[in-house]
Amino acid sequence: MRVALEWMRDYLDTERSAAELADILSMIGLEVEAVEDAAPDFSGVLVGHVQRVWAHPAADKLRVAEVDVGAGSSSQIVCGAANLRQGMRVAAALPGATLPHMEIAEAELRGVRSSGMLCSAVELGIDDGSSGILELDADAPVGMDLRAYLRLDDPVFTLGITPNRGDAFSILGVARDLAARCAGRFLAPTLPVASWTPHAGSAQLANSLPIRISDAARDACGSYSALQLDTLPQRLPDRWRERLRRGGQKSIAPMVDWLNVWMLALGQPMHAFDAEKIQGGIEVRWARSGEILDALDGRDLPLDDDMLVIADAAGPVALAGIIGGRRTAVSASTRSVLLEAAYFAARAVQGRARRLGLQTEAAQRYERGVDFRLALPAALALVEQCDVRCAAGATALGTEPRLSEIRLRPQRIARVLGTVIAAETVVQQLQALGCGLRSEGEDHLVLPPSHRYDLRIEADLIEELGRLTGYEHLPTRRPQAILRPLRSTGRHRRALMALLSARGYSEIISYSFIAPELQAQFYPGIGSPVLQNPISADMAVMRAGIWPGLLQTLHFNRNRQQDRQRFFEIGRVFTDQTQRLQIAGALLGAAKAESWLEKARASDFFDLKGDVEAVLGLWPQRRFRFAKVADPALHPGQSAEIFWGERAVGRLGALHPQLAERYDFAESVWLFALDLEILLEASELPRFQPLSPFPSVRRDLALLVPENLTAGDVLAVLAAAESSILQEVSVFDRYIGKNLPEGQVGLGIRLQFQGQTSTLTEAQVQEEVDRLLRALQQVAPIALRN
Amino acid sequence: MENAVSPASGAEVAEAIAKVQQLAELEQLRVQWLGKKGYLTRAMQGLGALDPEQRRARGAELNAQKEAIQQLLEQRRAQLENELLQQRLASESVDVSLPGRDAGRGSLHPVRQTLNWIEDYFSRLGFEVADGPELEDDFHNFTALNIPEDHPARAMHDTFYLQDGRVLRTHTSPVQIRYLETHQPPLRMIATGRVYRRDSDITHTPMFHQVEGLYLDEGASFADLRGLLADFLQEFFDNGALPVRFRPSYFPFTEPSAEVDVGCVICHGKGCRVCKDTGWLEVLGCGMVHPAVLTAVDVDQERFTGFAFGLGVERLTMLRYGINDLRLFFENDLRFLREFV
Repeated sequence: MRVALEWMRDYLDTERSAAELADILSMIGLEVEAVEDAAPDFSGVLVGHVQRVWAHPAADKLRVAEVDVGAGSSSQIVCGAANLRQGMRVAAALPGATLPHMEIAEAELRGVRSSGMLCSAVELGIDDGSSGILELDADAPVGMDLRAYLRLDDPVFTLGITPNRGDAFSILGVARDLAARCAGRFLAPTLPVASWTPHAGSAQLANSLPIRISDAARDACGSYSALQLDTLPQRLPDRWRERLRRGGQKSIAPMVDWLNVWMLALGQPMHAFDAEKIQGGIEVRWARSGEILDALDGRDLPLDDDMLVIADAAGPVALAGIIGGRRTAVSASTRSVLLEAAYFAARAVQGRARRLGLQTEAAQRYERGVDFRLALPAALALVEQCDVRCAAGATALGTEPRLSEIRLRPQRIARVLGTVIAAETVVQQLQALGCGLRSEGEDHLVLPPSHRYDLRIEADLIEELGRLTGYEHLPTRRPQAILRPLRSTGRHRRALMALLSARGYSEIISYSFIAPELQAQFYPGIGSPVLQNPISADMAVMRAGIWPGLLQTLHFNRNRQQDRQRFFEIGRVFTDQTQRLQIAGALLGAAKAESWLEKARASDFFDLKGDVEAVLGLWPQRRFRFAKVADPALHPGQSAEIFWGERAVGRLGALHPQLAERYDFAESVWLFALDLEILLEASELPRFQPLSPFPSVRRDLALLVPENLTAGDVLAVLAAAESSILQEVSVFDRYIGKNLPEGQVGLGIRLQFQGQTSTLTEAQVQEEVDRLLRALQQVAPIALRN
Repeated sequence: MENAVSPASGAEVAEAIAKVQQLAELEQLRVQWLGKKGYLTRAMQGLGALDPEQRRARGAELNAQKEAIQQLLEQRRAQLENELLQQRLASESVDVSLPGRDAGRGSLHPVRQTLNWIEDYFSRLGFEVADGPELEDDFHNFTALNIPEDHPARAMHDTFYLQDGRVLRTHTSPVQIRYLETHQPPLRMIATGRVYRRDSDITHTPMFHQVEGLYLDEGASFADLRGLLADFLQEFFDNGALPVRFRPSYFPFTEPSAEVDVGCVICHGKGCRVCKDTGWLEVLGCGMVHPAVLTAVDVDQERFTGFAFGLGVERLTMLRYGINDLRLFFENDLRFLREFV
């Protein structure tokens, strides 16, 4: 909300500077987002009086004016504005004047001398929506500097009003809050009192137009006043036009402008209907499903039955507290106005505008809450101010909100704020907000004012006391607490990140939502959560895995000439039922960066697997098994699933060549993904194994195995044989060659034996080797190669 | 060497040895003089023919001669060996300025580094690190946090909705509720993670990271909140004199609520583009936990008071490292990531 200091002085008597006020505003919770000058710099512009106008001899669109600029001098000025006329008061920039975007000098226009320029509002940087040159009030003092006349050397504060502060959505309210923080003296306006008596439920205007609040809507509409105006207001005086502009509103028509002025000043939105277009009478009621409002913004709004409307015999004429309708709108031909001043409960307005894609000044205020006793006095003050004749008025009452006393306990204040606030300070601060107070023992019983029904509970009042005392004046201390051990978590996660980054992987963060096509290619058949309102079509489903994000990153960086890349990401992946933590990685390009030492070698499956094994090595007590897998995103011959016992914990492999081609990767891309939640399950402590003091014996076996038997199968058989002296098994060679029989591969297996209780004899070792060979031969025709 | 050559004198021996340049030559001399058939050996053998008196004198002379030659030979051998070693070492030297074999370093994302830093900081103070779902129900994301449907505060969050009615959590605050559903005060916890808002422009990304903190205890007050956060911010920005300012604000789930500003870490309060010439940077939101929230999770409010805080990780990261464009975090440009090794 925009607050012009000049205007606020109507309600606040203060000596503080604009900078001080800005600081105080921010520190009482009315955050100053900007402080601007009311107008950009310009000088040399005076109030002029157009004495005479005549046609330009050489140009159809130009005219020449003789303008009195005070002190007995007059200037001849050429002007092209259509609204130029004799007798009007204008803004005259004389030679030497500096405007925001130009300098004024003596000139000759098509052969006629022009000593200055008549300015439009836009040229002065004070665009108020008017067209042509700026027309000033008929009594504007001729020769006066325009800046002084319009009081343009004045700051305008833009405030961010939080949703709880409906009371501060007006200049009056801001002034009241500043005064409560001792930034000045509050000048409470005296508002007029109605000459008529409100009636519960329904009332009648003098011309017998009935005003009614339907029974079901009484809680939603506390009061509804209708004032019939027989004359329409005149153009706003300059001062008010300026205030309206500084409040951020364009001038539309005098009636609407006055409504806006009053809304900005007091926070009370009002609406004007063309009285002659209202059919039958006015009823405040809930909309009927299917009803439509021809809203002033030009749209036809479909209404729901939880929307409050103002209706006449022919249907809705306004959406209560949000927007009026076109059928009953005030126009140039309007002769009589029905002025609405009503209290609509916040909960009857909240959310409706948003649902309809609207944001109006009225809705912003009603949603936060408007002073429920303000409507009629504000309307009467408006009538007085804009000098129109009010022929009749009537008020129907619904159910007014009830204010109840709130108990405020001094020890609770101290407990929450951490300091004692003196009783007289409590009383003085809350009274400054308009609260009524009485005491009961130590406690205060506080009755909030009608403009602060956001004050409902004790905590609300404590917040006010903190705010008005100033957070900067409240104490600060370090918390004291009882020490209590916590389960240590996150150790493995950190180790994992450190390990991958040490192995050359950079961590990325990619969006959790991806394109549905991508999802379908990588994770077909997974039920994915779909966004109702994605920000774009390529961010419409929650990712079922991290690979698409990694690929996008590889792609992005490859386009930036990065030919060797390693990335990982930790994040949640989603299905309809689950949201699990995954860690995934990708690598592309050479296994090692090319250097003066060695030529680059393309990465292969075992570079990837080595990295994955290093990750899994963080859980040395766990046995992981790799088995071939069919994954739609992976190369069928170079992909594996990883098992821990029977549980699948992840996959790795080469990106499927078809996908690689689709995403324009000429080289192999290697991917892995692990279920981090399974990995991070509580892990076992290492069990100590006694160290044997006896020498170990190594045996290398050159095996001939059928090619369909994997190295893993061989190792599994050896592990299953449960040798008590076999310490370690490794594969030291694998070869395929001409010398081998068809369908066989050579496998070099290294066995390391060691006794726990004695040095092994040659015979013992040989016996064990033979036993292990027999175990292998039971599984497949395996021979020793010589 | 059949014919032993007799050295003419001690000086000649020394000269001959000094001239030797090869270990093999040295060996030749040794054999010539001291070998089985060498001059001295033979001279020793000849001692038997002398009478005892002469034999003793001659023997002593020969022994002295032998020792002197041995010593000279040994010295020269050590010298030559050392020269050889020096030659070998010189030939083996490498250009130490050439780079080593590099496995290539990776890096942690700057946002992660901030998250880790914050988790470590609060862990040291006894805060438990908690976690919660990113796909949330309306109750935990809004209602339980005192944000009823249609409340204007919902307009503060541009929410992503799922087709099944759930939301993408708009803040980490729902973790507070989930934690309170399973833990009894006194308690201290922080939750970190991804949050989502339907907003995308130069200063907003539809996904970002938050840290949520919750502290409930007997006698926890606004003063404690201020102390805790002032310490945190001064430590985070590594400046014990960093100005920290609490301003009243509004969050539906705290009361009193505050926004916290720090003195601009870019211009140090002089005024710059980052702080919009105010000298202050807003870095987090906080407040005393709202009674409605405690009621929703059945905490005895007369006994326990507490506070909560929430902060945007990207913003803190940008300020910490001087990063000027939020979108860099999610482009994952390798050059950018490697700046944070």
